[in-house]
Amino acid sequence: MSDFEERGVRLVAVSVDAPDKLTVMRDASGAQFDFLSDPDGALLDIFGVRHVDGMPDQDIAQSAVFLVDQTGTLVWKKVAENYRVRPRPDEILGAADRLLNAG
Amino acid sequence: MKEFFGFVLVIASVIGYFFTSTQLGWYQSLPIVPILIAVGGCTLVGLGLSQRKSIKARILSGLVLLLAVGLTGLYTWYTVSFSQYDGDQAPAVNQDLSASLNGMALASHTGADATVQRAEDRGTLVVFYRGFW
Repeated sequence: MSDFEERGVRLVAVSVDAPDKLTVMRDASGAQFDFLSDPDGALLDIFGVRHVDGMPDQDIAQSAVFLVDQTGTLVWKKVAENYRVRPRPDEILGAADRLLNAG
Repeated sequence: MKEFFGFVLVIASVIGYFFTSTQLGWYQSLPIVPILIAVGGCTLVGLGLSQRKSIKARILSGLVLLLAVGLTGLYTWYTVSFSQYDGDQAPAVNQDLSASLNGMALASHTGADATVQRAEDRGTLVVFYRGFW
């Protein structure tokens, strides 16, 4: 978390879960950043990560990570081809370094 | 004994993958390793079966082999096919999303609305996850 803060990068975690479930997830993970609820999938659609019927009768988020710069430009993305495989923190930090601090 | 060790090998390789892949990020991309170990386990069970003489022992070993092969098949199907997404529909890198993101707010874990992108941040890392259950 502090590695990202040092770089001036804010983290947000997004899912279709209701706020009360976000709290459970946040507490369980020990995360200190914001968890956002996107029940209608508005943000999922902007990033093209709606996993239609990912759960029975429910669309959920496709596992993915995006880095958006200050101007709102998408500068890096990692969209999972398979939900078992997630980007590693060092991989994300490396991208943040290259794209935000190098400039 | 071959059947026992073979079956344990299958169970350990499959279950072990799910535990170790969360701890070792790089291991997530290597589901082939547990598949190979599980196939080795199935082979061991098969070897044990081939050495059994009595009908009862052969039936028992056959059942173990069936379970081992079934578990290996289930794991292979899950990792290679079931957990696969359709494709990457995300916007291309360097695409300007400011019009969509500007002022957009979602309910946060506190219940209060929070903007997705804030002016004071050099960047925003948006992590999408499947949800809690």
